[in-house]
Amino acid sequence: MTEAQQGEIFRRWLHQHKGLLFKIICAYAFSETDRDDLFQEISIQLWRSVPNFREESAVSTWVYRVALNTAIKWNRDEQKHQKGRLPFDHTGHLLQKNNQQKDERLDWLYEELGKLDKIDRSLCLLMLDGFSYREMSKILGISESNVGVKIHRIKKHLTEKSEEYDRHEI
Amino acid sequence: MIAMKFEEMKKIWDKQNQQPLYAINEEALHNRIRTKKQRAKHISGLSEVFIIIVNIVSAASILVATFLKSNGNGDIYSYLLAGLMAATAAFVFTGRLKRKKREHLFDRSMLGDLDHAISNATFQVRLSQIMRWYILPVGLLILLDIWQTLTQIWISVLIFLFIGFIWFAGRWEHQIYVKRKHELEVLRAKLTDGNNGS
Repeated sequence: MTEAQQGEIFRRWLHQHKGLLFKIICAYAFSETDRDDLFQEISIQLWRSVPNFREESAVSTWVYRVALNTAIKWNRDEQKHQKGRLPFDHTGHLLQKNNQQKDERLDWLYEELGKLDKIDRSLCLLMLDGFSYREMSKILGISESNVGVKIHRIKKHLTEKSEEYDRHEI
Repeated sequence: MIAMKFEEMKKIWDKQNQQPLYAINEEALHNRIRTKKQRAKHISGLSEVFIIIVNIVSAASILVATFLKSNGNGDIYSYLLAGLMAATAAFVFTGRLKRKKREHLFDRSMLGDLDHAISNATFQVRLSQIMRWYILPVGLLILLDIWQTLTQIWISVLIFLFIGFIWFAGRWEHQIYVKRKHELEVLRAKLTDGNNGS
């Protein structure tokens, strides 16, 4: 694969799946600077992964896998000291927020996601994006029954939190 | 806000698919990837390559210098130092080869990726620990060697202080790797928690 082909495929993946990348980034990084940083890291890993894609899974699953694996290992403090990283003001911010109406419930959901540990967060993201237990099992490398147990626990936790929030509001 | 069932949460979540939260600054992204790509070639495994080259060059230089200076009858400390450096270079080189071979054994799941990261972190922890202890015999041999030839004590003191500084810097570096490895192991334990029935 030539570098030009790799770049072309990478750009196509980025355009087609940017929505799911943004969701992962917002779930794992909580300030604009960190989101930019994580997006940069995920983009680089995604670009590097292009030659390894063997079409054994859907592109979306592959992109999700690369992004999640990068996000759970991403360490805010470590990134600050990493060599080869450009300061943001050299090239401008990578992500520019779109002006749109805020949904209070979505903010709440992201807030609760952020409170989960990194592994539960990744399961929750996969679950919200409609991946089957079988797909989740393959992406995470754990058994389907274990996925089921964890998902059940997370669903219960989120529903309880939602009720708690509701009582608080009243 | 009304208490939500999970299905409602999913509906809210799916709304993002129609309205992406961000626009990508493609020019900036392209620039960063290009820069990172160029640098990555140089940075990848740099510390190992550096250790190998420095030790081989140093061992060869010590051997040649000692041999030429004393016509084959050099002091034992210099030969020991050269031998230790050559052995260290060989050890790091074989470790690097083994690590590179293992890289293809990990599957592409999150668990495989974490295992790969832990394997690399284990190597870094081991290497930083060995390099730290390595400073002691090397430093001792250097001091013994210069003690025989130098008359000015302050040079020995300076070298001693420098070796001490490297020792403490090595400890700091080692602790960073240990912490990183521990974080990865915690993630792995969390992921596989309850996976025994698989």
